[in-house]
Amino acid sequence: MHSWESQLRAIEAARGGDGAALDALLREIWPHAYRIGLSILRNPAAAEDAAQEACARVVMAIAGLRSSAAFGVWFYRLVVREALAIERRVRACDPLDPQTLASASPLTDALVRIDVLRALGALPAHQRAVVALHFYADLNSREIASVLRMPEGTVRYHLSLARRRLEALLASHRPRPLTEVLFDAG
Amino acid sequence: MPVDLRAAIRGALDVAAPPVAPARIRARAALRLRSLERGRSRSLLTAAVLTALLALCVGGNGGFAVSTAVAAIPAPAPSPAAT
Repeated sequence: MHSWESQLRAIEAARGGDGAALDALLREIWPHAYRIGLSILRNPAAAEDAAQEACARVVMAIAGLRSSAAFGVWFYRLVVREALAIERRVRACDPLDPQTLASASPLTDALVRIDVLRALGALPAHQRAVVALHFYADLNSREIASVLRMPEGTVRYHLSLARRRLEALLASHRPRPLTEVLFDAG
Repeated sequence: MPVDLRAAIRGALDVAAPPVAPARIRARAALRLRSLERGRSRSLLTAAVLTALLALCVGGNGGFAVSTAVAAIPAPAPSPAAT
C-alpha cells in the first residue's frame, strides 16, 4: 500500500484547515487517483474527471474525517466510487486514446500498455477496481473489502477470477505493429 | 511462462498524470458545496410550506376544516355514457 503514514502530518494539517498542506496533499494523491481511474475507465479524459471529482470530495470532507490513519481507505473509496459512477454513465471507453499512446515511450511499451488496458477492459468494472486496488495500490483483501464495502470472501473471489482471466489474456500477448493495433481497434 | 500481473499492471499504469490544478479542484469542491446547500435550503423551504399548509388545513385556522371544504366541492355532472 502507498505509504500514507509518511503523509500523516500533511493529512492532519489539512484536516485542521491548513490550505498549503491541503494543496500538497492534493499533489500527492492526484497521480494515484488518476491511475486508479485509468485502470477502471481506460480513458484518460474520464480518468482525469474521476480524479478531479474524488479530489474535490477530499477537499469538501477532509475536515470531517474521523482519523488521519483512515485517509488511505477513505480516499481510495472516493476514487473508485467516482470512477464506477462515470463508468455507469459512459459505457464506451476507448483504451486506444491518443493521449495514452503519447504518454508512453518507447513504442513497445505503448503496445504492451494497450494490451494490458484491453485485457482489463475484458473484466467487469468492479473487478477492474479490485485489480487496481490489489496490484497498483497494494491493498490486501481485507483493505479492499473495506474500500469497496463488500465481504472479504467476495473480494478474494473476484480477485481470483480476474487474475485467471488476465493471465490467460496476457499470456497470449505478443508485441504487435502499431498499424495492426490501430486497425484492430476500428 | 507465468505472467507477472503486478509488473504488467503497474507498467501499464505507469503513465504521466495530467498536471494537477489544486485551484480547479477547490473551485469544483466549492461548486459542489454550493449546490448541496441550495438543495438543502430548497428541501427546508418545501418542508416549511408543507407544514404551513397542513397547519392551515388541520388546525382549523379561521374556521377552515377539510370536511367542510370537501363538502363544498360541487358533485360532477353524470357522464353522457351513464345516461
